[in-house]
Amino acid sequence: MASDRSFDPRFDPAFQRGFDGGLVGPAVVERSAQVELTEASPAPPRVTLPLVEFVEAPSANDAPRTLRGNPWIPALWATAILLTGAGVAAQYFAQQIVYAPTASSAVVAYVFPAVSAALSPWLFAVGLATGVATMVIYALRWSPRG
Amino acid sequence: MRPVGVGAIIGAGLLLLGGALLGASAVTYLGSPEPLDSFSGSVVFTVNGQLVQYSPWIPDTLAVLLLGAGLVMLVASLVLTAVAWGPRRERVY
Repeated sequence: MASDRSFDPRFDPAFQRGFDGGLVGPAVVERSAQVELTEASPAPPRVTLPLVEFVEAPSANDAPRTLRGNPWIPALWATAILLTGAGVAAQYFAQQIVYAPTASSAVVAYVFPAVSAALSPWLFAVGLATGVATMVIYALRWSPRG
Repeated sequence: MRPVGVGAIIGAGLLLLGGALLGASAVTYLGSPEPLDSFSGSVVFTVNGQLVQYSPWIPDTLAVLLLGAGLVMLVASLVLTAVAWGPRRERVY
């Protein structure tokens, strides 16, 4: 029976356990306003409490929990793929040119392979790190509700 | 200016500086060919109608380091921009 249960006065009794749609329990009404309920007395007025007492306004510095609509995430994935591929390609072509039988100029024979071989580790490592960072962002923003 | 923008500008500056150093080093290398030597084992090229040889070139370490650091700064700025991004909110007074 709902009458012998106490409801939390901060919330609407309709959303609390034990509410049967009838009278509101005595805890909802102030102690001083309680009256003896008799057969002749009318039902006490239902106390309507606000459902939400305080809602904190979102701050402009709060980052959103979802990544939906973030235009930088596709840019991050593209950067990761491009840099990793460029690193692999630079290393591959540097070795191909070094071991080529003929070269048309000193730029092709010496400069380009040396620059490619020197920058290849940077490109590959930064590309991988970008992909890992993007996955970390996804992990931090993940929630069970999607 | 936002810190992300400052990082991107610094990264772009490092890339430009490293590229300039690397380009200057390559131009200096290409402008000073070695005399022909049959025993050097180097490839012979024709430059302005003359046969020349070059010893293998090693890029400037500082230039490569600056290029790599600039790349890291640019990508880090991109990552931070993606993290700090938020949908445009209507200002309510």
